Amino acid sequence: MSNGNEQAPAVVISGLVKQFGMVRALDGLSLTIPRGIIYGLLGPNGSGKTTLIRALLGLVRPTSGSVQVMGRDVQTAGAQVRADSGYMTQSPALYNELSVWENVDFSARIFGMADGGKRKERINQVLRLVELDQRENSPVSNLSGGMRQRVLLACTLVHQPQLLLLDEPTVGVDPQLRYSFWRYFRQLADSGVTLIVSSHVMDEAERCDRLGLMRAGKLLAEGTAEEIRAQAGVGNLEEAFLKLSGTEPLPASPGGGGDRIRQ
Amino acid sequence: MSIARTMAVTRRIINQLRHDHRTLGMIFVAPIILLALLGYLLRSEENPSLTLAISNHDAGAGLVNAGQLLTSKLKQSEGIVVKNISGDVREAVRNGTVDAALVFSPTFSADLLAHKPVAISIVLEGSNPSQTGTSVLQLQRAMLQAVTTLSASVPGGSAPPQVRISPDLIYGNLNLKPLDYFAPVMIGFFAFFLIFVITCVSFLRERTQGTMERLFASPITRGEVVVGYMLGFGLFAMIQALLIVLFTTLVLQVQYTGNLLWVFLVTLILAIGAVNLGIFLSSFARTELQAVQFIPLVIAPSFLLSGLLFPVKDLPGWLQAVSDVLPMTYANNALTDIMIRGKGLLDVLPEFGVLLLFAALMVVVASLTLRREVA
Repeated sequence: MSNGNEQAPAVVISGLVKQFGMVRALDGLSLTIPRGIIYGLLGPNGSGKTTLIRALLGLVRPTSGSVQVMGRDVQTAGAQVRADSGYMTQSPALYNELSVWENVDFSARIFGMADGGKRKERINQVLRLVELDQRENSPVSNLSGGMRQRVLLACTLVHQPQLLLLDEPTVGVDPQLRYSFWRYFRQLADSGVTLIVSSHVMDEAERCDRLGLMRAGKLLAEGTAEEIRAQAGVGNLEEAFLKLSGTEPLPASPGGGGDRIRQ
Repeated sequence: MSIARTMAVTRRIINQLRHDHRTLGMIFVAPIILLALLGYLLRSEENPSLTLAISNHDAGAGLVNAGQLLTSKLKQSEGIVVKNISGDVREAVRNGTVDAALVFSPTFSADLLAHKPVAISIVLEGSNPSQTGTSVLQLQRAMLQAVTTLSASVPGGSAPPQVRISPDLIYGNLNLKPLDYFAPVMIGFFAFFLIFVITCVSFLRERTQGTMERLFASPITRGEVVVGYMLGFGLFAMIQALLIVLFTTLVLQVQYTGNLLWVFLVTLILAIGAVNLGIFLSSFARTELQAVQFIPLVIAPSFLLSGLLFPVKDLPGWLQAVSDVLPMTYANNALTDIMIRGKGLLDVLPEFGVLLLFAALMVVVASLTLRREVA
């Protein structure tokens, strides 16, 4: 699999603006993400996380600014960027009439895995990974929410992408599975895959190598969890986020400004 | 264009439908049930037995009593039951004892022999125009047959004059029944609409479920998606067309003269247009309910104006203009030309060309409505 410029960072975004009518979903965002790390995108709903992920795949056309993935410009080399990327959408976008196997097989085929034997082997591998090898013939419509999320992850991983874009991958996933997801994300990062994970769960943020705090299409802060805490001058990430986004937490109340980042 | 990716889409559609028994039923069973029903209704309309009273005042001419001869012939006619009514036949028609009455004037035979115009009056109840029309037609047909056989059975000389009304039909024959006429157009109709509806809804589902976004996050191109869809649904349209053709010819025993292969080909091209029309229109709907609302919008003009129910030439000019742009009109023409008039593909080349053009145009507009970028 060719990776464009081997030396280039996984993602280089500069001055990215995306205007949807009156709404500015991305507002002059610049960001560089090195290869082989887990990068956490944190921010409330509507802060632009999904739009940013879509822009990385050429699924939204930037109003201005540029996006480079693995040294390739997304606007001109979108097909190669997409071929090397895996995108796990926020909603479990699966074909309900198809079985688990057929869903994963379809993903493999549209990513050009033409060799039947290799494809089969790889599908078996990812299904074991998400612990669905026993359910491969079940129609997706018969599966629980957590299981669907696992099928979606299998679909995203099947073609061995070098860049993984995971839009809130653990929503609706039980703690045990969430733990194994993250363990696996770490393994992937160690093998050189770059992961960009959006989340608004703070304990997941702690597991990321670097974090970007987003709000209203802007990057409020960027760095390791340690650096962000230091920048805010507080002891934990949640407080740091609230402080950096200009919302003071109300100590005694469970509501208040904190509801923006509740899971 | 990657054949592998295109075929992946096709394969997925086949698998989806294979698992979706309700939709399969809609494609394969619904047209059969509807055709069976239509067949039953039209067949029973073909031979509604007409009870007839005959009032023969014909005094005869010489040895010949034409009224009597015709009566005995009519008694042998299929679908006509001649009832003996003593008394006023008008009254019998009025109170419903008989459906119609024939009255031969006293000079019927004499007039015939003298080559005078003969009038046979038919008494009908007349409150239901369509019933009246059917009865008149049926009586005319029976009379025609009776007169024809009569003049053939009587040798020359003292026979009644040659009341030779020889039917001269360019296509079909006197036995061509409404069902035989409807079968070809129904084949096209079902292929078009069921495939249109199913594509429109399944494509919309692809958009609303988010699978379209995931699809476009792959290297697949929109052309590959459209062609993949086309082949997948085209296959089902083909099986559907085959089933309908077999059912109408083998079970409903519809008469046809042309080559069924051409019927099949025309239907397939029409269905391909329908797949892409479905993709195109699905982009104007946000929900499945909205997509369903397109159905009457698309079906009504084609159903009413394509010549399926009313001959296009009888439509007012502006409606004929609408008819001219409906693909169904060309499909109807081509299918009836092939099945009833026994024409070949070369004879329906203009219609076939229009259908091909429609399919190609729909492929283009369907591709254009697909956008990788959500904005």
